[in-house]
Amino acid sequence: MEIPASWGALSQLTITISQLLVVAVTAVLLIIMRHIVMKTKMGMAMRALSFNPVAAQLMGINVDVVISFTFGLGSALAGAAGILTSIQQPSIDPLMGVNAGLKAFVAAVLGGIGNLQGAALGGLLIGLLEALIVGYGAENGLSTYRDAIVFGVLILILIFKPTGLLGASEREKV
Amino acid sequence: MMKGRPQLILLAVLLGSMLASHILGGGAAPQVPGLNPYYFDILIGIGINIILAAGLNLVNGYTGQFSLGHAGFMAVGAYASAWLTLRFGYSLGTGTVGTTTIFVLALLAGGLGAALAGWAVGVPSLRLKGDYLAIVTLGFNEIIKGVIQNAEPLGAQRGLGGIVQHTTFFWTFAFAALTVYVVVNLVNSTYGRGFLAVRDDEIAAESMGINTTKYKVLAFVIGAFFAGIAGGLYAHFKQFIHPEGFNFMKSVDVVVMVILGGNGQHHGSLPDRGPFDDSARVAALRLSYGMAAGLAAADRGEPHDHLFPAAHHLHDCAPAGLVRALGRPEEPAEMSTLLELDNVTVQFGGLKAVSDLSFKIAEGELIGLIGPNGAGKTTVFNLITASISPPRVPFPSLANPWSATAPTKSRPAAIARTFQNIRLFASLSVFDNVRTACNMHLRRGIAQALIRGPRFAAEEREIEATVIELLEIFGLAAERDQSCKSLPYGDQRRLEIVRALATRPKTPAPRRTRRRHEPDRKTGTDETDPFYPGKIRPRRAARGARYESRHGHLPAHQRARLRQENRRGAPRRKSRPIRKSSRPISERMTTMLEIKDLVVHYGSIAALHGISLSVEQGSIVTLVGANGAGKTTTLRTISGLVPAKSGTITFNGEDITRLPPHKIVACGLAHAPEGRMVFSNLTVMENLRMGAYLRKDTQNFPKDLDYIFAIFPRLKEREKQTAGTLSGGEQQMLAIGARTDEQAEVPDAR
Repeated sequence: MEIPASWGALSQLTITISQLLVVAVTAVLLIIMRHIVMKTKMGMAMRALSFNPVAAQLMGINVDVVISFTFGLGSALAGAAGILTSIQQPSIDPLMGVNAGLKAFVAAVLGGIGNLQGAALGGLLIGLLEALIVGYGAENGLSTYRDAIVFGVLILILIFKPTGLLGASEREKV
Repeated sequence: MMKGRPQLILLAVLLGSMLASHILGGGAAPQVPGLNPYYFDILIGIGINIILAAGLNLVNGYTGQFSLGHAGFMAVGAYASAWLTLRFGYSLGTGTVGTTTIFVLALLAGGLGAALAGWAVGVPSLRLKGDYLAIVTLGFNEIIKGVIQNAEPLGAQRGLGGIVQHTTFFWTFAFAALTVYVVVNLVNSTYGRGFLAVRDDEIAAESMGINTTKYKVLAFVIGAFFAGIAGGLYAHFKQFIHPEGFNFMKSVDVVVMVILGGNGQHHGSLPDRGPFDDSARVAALRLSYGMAAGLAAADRGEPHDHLFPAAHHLHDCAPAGLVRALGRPEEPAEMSTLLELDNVTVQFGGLKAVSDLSFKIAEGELIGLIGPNGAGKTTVFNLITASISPPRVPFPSLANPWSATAPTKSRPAAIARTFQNIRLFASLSVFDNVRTACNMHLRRGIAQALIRGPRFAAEEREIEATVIELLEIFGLAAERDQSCKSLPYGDQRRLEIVRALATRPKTPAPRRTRRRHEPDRKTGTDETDPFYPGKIRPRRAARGARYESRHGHLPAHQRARLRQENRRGAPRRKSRPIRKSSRPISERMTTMLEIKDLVVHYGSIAALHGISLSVEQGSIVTLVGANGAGKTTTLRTISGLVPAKSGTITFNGEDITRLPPHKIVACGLAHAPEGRMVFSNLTVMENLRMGAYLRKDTQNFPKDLDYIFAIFPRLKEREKQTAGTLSGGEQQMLAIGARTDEQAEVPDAR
């Protein structure tokens, strides 16, 4: 896709249709996900269950069904991510998800576990940070420190925001 | 385990491995003909993994932290020791003695380096829990790896080779034995019970005067030390190390080993009540409506005489009213103050929870703090016992230094407390729960716990005697080895009080309690757990306080027998349904709930011996019985949380004995259990919706909502707040409201 020359420096960018597709699909999935978790009965049951399984049972929630559904939903989303990744890459392999899965965990924690917007924000930040380090650190050798720097920033953030960027602080009532 | 002479066992293992090593020969090439070098490789690998897993078990298992960075510490140890032997390998000569000395010194140095790294990871990570901690430790692992990858002297990306092989069978298993010895002996001491207490309930541990920070860092440091040793052994066995060998996957390997082996399971000696009774959260306090926390000034082993009793200054305190409950008017008025709050203000964001509160408590004075729901009573308690960390609370002048510091920081806890919702150390036995509270008075530290000298034994015996005495006073001695979660509800509450007293309080002040007669929604029964019938009656003796319990007039052995009879199902033991029909018997309605010969066992222990009762429509049935009689079990069995061994439960003619809980709820049977069952992470509105989870008639929901809000207007005000931010009383309102939603068919007492 060509970018008009009038955009200045940005015109040197090349954005492929498939990249746009990834962004669009991600946005749609996020909205659907948020709706399921926050607005539907099943989503409410998930959140209740996460807090207190016994009480949830006494409210009439079928715990097994909810847990199975949650795993199903998570796996479906991971599958979607796998498809989007394979669009970008020339080849696929059985272990292609290991690194991505680890980074997903990191991103979710950075944003705040149990917070969808946080997870999206965390993913964006991690990705940007890695790209910037590799891009700007190439000449001065910083790029070999990529993972170390990313995790260093992550640790700093968590020390000041112990429950992630958007996570609610969990102060337990006693 | 390891009772008696653990040192001897260690010695035996060391000798054994030395002998085995002699037979096998040193180095990678075993001298036993027929022994495949590959098997030898595996043997050494097993030893190294034992060291890694045992060390991590202290962190992940016993202390309940989640470290995913164990390979990082291993890397520090491996590289440090390898670099040292490469550099100084022959500085003591080329003989076996010289090189071995250098090797062992290098191993220890590697361990110390890793311990330092563990300290560096532990300290900043202390505020983090669960997944967050896991990620940070994983991050440190990656950082350590990243630094090594870029360090030229350590071979950077190429890896470090040419390491001389020093690791033998003996050294590997000697260190493995040492690791296991340290971890097991540490954990099996009063000192080490602190690790378990931190895992089970950090807040309660803190209130017992346990320095949770210290324990967590210590766990990290010890775990890292042994990981460093393991790394050194690995490096001097494989002769080549590479940064990628210490990556995330290696850490995961160790975590997997720990989990496979049972993640720090300390096996309680007696049967637990089973999986349903899983967390402290579940066993919460029914009496929580009132101010349930009790305060007691604890004797810190210093003379307090100059502090003794004072004139009472009772200032106004808004919004909570402060009332002197049981002062002693005849007391001379020149006593000095134990605790003083001067214009204390607590603010949560924009919300002022406590404003300008001032009061003083003199020695021997009993003070009750009362006020309406949400007045800030709990906040004051939390502030005093430093459950709210002071830095986040702007309080201008707290006259008493006790309250200005967290109980564990500069001094042992000065104040003992219990909690609104029972907070026992769930995985510990009754005895260990109380023993843990003696932690802050320990004179012997970690070194003694490891060496296990006579002084250590004497102190442990002394603690044991104290604990037994306390348990006997409160009639819990017979249950000393039971898992605390298997105690009936009332006894759990009692145990919590015993535990608070074990911190050696001098002036116990009573909790302000209020009996709750909360009709149970499920059976329409009123299941009031007689809160701790033996009231603590503090008598000020010359020194220390005495306590009486309900059976205080009986000698200890008789009390124990009485309790045993209760258990066995002697006449007193049966739960008796009291029928209180609101209608004349002639127009008795149909039977809604019918229980016939219900028998329930927990493992081999019988909890219910054939209970039969029936509930008619429109009637209220109450279960009455002593602690441990089986009231809770009956209710839990009806709602399907506990399986019945035999007998039947029918509801509206349908047999519900074997139905899962959610199906029973669907039948129209609601159960408001002990404790406050609200979902703290959901908003008030969502909690109410949860109550209506199974309802089909959604159009009627708004009507019911109005009804609930009419009864509890406070809930309407807080509709959008998450339930966790509500005060104790407000949460109780919500719990009732949510059950009202369920539209249970058995009428209740609302």
